[in-house]
This record gives sequence, C-alpha cells and structure tokens, in this order.
Amino acid sequence: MKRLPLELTVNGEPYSLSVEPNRTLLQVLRDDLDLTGAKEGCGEGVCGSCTVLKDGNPVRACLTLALEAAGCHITTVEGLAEDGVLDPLQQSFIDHGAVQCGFCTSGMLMTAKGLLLRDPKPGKNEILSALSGHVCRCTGYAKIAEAVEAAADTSAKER
Amino acid sequence: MRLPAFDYELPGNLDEALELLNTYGPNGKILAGGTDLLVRMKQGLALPTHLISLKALPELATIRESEVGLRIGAAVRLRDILTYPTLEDRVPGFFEAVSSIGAPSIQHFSGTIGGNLCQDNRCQFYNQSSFFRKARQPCNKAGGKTCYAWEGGSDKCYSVCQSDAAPVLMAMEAEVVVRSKQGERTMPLAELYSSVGERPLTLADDEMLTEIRVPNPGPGTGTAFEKLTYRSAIDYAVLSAGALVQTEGERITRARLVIGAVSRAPLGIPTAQNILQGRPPGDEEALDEAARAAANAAEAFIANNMAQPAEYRKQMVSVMAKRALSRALSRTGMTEAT
Ligand SMILES: Cc1cc2nc3c(=O)[nH]c(=O)nc-3n(C[C@H](O)[C@H](O)[C@H](O)COP(=O)(O)OP(=O)(O)OC[C@H]3O[C@@H](n4cnc5c(N)ncnc54)[C@H](O)[C@@H]3O)c2cc1C
Ligand code: FES
Ligand code: FES
Repeated sequence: MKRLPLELTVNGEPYSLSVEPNRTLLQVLRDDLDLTGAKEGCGEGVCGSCTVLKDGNPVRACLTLALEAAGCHITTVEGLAEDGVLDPLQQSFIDHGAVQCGFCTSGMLMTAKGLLLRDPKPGKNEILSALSGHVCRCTGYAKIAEAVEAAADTSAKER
Repeated sequence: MRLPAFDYELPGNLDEALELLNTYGPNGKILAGGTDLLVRMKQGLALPTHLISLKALPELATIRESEVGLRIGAAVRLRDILTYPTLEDRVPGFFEAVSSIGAPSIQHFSGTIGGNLCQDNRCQFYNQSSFFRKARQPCNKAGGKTCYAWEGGSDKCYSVCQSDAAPVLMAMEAEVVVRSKQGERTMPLAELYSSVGERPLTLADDEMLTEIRVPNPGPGTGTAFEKLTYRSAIDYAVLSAGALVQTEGERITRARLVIGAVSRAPLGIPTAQNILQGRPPGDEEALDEAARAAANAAEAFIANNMAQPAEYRKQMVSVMAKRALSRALSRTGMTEAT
C-alpha cells in the first residue's frame, strides 16, 4: 500500500499530510489531527454521527477516503465556534435541550449547518428531511428539529 | 471499522481510467461516491487491490441535453440531478426515485447515479460483517454452495438488486453508454443487469458506465416511482415500482411497469402493456389487472432475503404497482409537449 500526499483544509487550517489509501477521513480527523468531535457510531453510513462538511455539504466521514478529500475544505464541529463564541446553532441546541448523551450531536449540527448554508430560512419539512438519516437514541428528535428551526429564525433575522 | 489495504489511483482523464481498468481487471474497482463499495470492503465482501477514483473526471460529472433527452454522466452526484432545472417537472418519476435513495446526508452529496445503478445486489445473509458470516458456510455469492434466503437452500443466489433509480429508468427505456479501452457500446439499461445474483452486472471487468441517456417522455406521458420502506429515510426498498404511462385521446397507448427490489435484476412486467393498451385512463379494473400480473410475476423471485417477511412483500407488490401506475397516469396531462 503506497502512502500518498494529501493536502486539505480543515476548519480553515491548511494541512499537508501523508496517508495510507485505506484511511478514512474520519480516521485522519480523529487519530492524526486530534479532532475527535466527529464520532464513529456504525462505521457503515447508517447513523450519521461521523458527518462533517466537505466544501459546505454534509458527507459521512466514515465512508469517505481521506484521499478523496484532497483539495477540499472540511469543517468539523470544532470549527463551528468563532473566537470562543458558539455558532447560533450550537447555542440553540443547548437552549432547547437538544443534547442528551451528545453522541449524535456533532453530526446533527454539521448537517444542520450545511442546510443553513444552502438555505438560511428552511421550512420545517426541509429541516426534517435534511436531518433524516441521522440517528439519535436519546432526544426523540423533536427538540433537535426545534433547535434548528429556532437557529434558522435567528440567523435569518440577523441578516 | 477499518478498510482492507489497497492502492489508490486518480486518473486525470477517461482514457487513463480505462487504461487502469484494463490493467487491473478483476482486481481494480471504480470508486465513485463509495457509499456502497466502501461498506462492502469494510465487511470483507469486496477486496480490490486497486481503487480507481472518478474524482478528477469532470467529463463524467456533467448533465447534457440532447434532442431526445438528458445525457447524464455516470459520476453525476444525486444532488446535482435533484437540483437540475426543470428535471422534477419533466421526469417526476425519476426525481422521486433519486430523492428516495438513502438519506440526503449519506448519498445526495456523495453518491452518484452510476454507482447507484452499478451497486452490488444485497441479501440479509450476505451483507453482514465477516464475524456474522463466519457462523456458517459461505453462501453462493460468497463463493460457497448454498443460498440461505431460499428455504431448503438453492444452487442459485437469491440476492436482490436494490437500485432505486433503475426501475423507473427502465420503465422510461433509458439507455446506458459503456466504455472500455477497446471501445464503446450503448444498450438499454435493462441489459446492464444479468439476473445472476453472484455477478449482477453484464459489464466486463475492464468496462465502465460513462453515461445514462434518459429519453424525454414526450406529450401525454407520465412517470412515477413508489418505494415501500419501514422508515422514510436510510432504508433500502422493501420493494418498489417504477411506471411510465402514455395516453392519446381517451386511451392508454403505452404502459411500462418495472418492479424493484424483488429480484436479482429490476423485474420488467411486459404484460402490463398488453393489459393496459387501448383501455380508458379511468378504467380502475385495468389497473388492478396489471397490478395482479406484476404480483404473479414477482412471486417466484421473492425470497427470505430481507428482514421483512417474504409473504408481506408478495402481498405488497400489487399495491405498489397500482400506486405507481395510477400516479403515472394522473401525470399524463401534466407533461407538456417537448
Ligand atoms: C445507509 C445506506 C443506505 C442506503 N440506501 C440506499 C437506498 O435506499 N437506495 C439505493 O438505491 N441505494 C442505497 N444505498 C446504496 C448506495 O449508497 C447508493 O446506491 C449510491 O447511489 C451509490 O453510489 P456511489 O457513487 O456511492 O457508489 P460506489 O459505492 O462508488 O459504487 C457502487 C458500485 O458501482 C461500481 N461503480 C461505480 N461507478 C461506476 C461506473 N461509472 N461504472 C461501472 N461501475 C461503477 C463501483 O465499483 C461499486 O462496485 C445505501 C447505502 C447506505 C450506506
Ligand atoms: S459512523 Fe459514519 S454513519 Fe455511522
Ligand atoms: S443525544 Fe444521545 S444519541 Fe442523540
């Protein structure tokens, strides 16, 4: 297995790495870059806890080869807060009690962030459909959907 | 979960990609979105020595218009299909099928249309971790000599083609363009599927799909896709139906029905055409007859290859078939002359 060079940007920081082809983006983020916000739940694409943004859109980091992210901008949950101030989405998750054990939370946040980047004022149905495919074993989903809806409202107002 | 070892190839143009496929033959696999292939590799079901990435081939990632319809590159992402202007109005059945694939954050930004059509067949006894599979002898598809999905075993593999895009595209008589280093051929999508569970595609090891040609349905034509699942996202189809219906005056002139997720290949129901041709659009009995014909044809193939009981799936074929046909029919007035 030939190691190959990999250039990518993670949370605004450029990285030059050398990786084995069979390493997933999730392994590189967690093991090499110490960004453990993205979680490995199932490892097979089913749960959503590993979701990160690749050029602004959600992808499963467990089903993305690190090498396939070459030249891309990756955003993980660690990249949401700016200068110690939480992203409105993160604050809204806290305010609405949308976090219990927290295992699904980073994935939910990233998919929600991707949605708001594409559409700052999504309707309830768009929110539910974007979040579908993310499994949460604790909250029962209602609070998560409400948190996203509220964050969408605030950020749209700020505009 | 770790991936087995392999080397990564990043061809910069189509000829390079075809050359690599030719060099590595059965040991080389195309990596499109990876959402089907990488799962199987993690489970030890596919062990290619070389992955050939389509990432740097923009020529495969574009949608073009031709006189007769859409020409969709094999590596076009599902999201780019869903956001293509007017696509939803022109071919609502295709739009429905693509939206129903998995979930937006899994496939829509990563998965490709070529990968969807070329995904491997599935079975609840095969698509499992190697730990699970080690509990018994390998099945036909895993190189053994039996099928656990068929009561009493079988020398045939009863895995299922799970592509959601295939049934409605087959109903619309879509064509695929296949290339290898040796040349190019175009064939009906139906001929991409071999009906052999162990090797469900008719592609040779050095061939790849480059384009999907989706004909304009034409005036008076409606399309629809119906998918039965337990959850509204993530799940593969328990079964599905794709339909195209065309009417002229007060008569049905063309009716294509394809049942998905019941058989080794999407199951075309040619008798639907014979039954529906010439009948008035309001003829409820005609739709019931066609739906029953679909159920009769599908019954022989439905095995215990999913978590859902085979008996339930058998009973649901006619329901999904009728829903798809009725909705396609209700859309025959919607499509404007193109
Ligand atoms: C949780 C989960 C749920 C899913 N649900 C669904 C579902 O509901 N419906 C559904 O249809 N699918 C589903 N899938 C399967 C898969 O994600 C989709 O079918 C997706 O569209 C596959 O596209 P891809 O580009 O990711 O394929 P890849 O994994 O890249 O490729 C799939 C196969 O096709 C081959 N291939 C890819 N491109 C070409 C080409 N141009 N020429 C020749 N061979 C090629 C690859 O070598 C590989 O064997 C699901 C997967 C997961 C993990
Ligand atoms: S760990 Fe990636 S989807 Fe579950
Ligand atoms: S908060 Fe525990 S899984 Fe979602």
